[in-house]
Amino acid sequence: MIATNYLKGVLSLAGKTFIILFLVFILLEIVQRSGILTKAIKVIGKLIGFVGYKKESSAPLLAGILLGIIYGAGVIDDMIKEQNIDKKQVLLVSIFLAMCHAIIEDTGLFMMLGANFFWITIPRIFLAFLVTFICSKIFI
Amino acid sequence: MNKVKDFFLSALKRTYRTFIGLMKIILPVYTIVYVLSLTPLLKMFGDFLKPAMKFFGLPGESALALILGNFINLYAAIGVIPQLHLNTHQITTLSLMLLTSHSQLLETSVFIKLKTRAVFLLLLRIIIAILIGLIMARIPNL
Repeated sequence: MIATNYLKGVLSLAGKTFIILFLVFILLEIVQRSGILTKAIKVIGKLIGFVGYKKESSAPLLAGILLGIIYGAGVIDDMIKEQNIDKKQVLLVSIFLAMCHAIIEDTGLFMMLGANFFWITIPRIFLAFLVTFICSKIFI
Repeated sequence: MNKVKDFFLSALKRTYRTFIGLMKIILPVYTIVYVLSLTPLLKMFGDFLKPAMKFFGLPGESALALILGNFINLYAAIGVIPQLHLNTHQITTLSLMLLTSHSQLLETSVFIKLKTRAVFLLLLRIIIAILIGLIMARIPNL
């Protein structure tokens, strides 16, 4: 009984994780292959000015939002060096990413556990913008 | 046709690689927590942290997900959460707290590498996660 319960739990969790990850990577493949990315970087560059960002911050920001901090670290570091992004902008990008990153994978995994989709996405993104905005006014 | 095949193969490869990486964390954590749940230890741990977790509307045992999530990573928390018997509201609260603050050892070291204010970011994430938990516990059921 104990063993069956354990096996059921493990198999269901492993199965669900595999399915969610497959959906996540299909979505990421579409995003990366379709050329949406270059357009998105331009659009985001125009949109994020009001929270204190400069245009060039949109590429590392998008990399972190999609890939996460650990997997995105190399790319983000390269972008910061290549585009000579200044210290203030690096901090603002880091503040947003500290609060909100790997948005497709992490959201998928926590929805799998039963979390409410709306509540784990919209308030999180809103809060990340709000905190970035406040920090851009106060701290720097 | 080759393009479609290539597309799915690439997605499947990335899925497989990530899946193996995740399972290396999720399975041992799930197993240890399952064994602990058969002993009085998990309940003792939960009773001890009950007064603190009450502020987030969560049972004491869910502190284990917060601790493992912050010190190890989200996948360790994922090994714990299915065994906590939480309702949708509680899972959402715990998820939001974890999504805001997790993998602190590894992610803080990334911020150090980016030469930005890593300690400030570490404290910011922990404080915001606590505030989110307090607010989520006070909104009506989802």
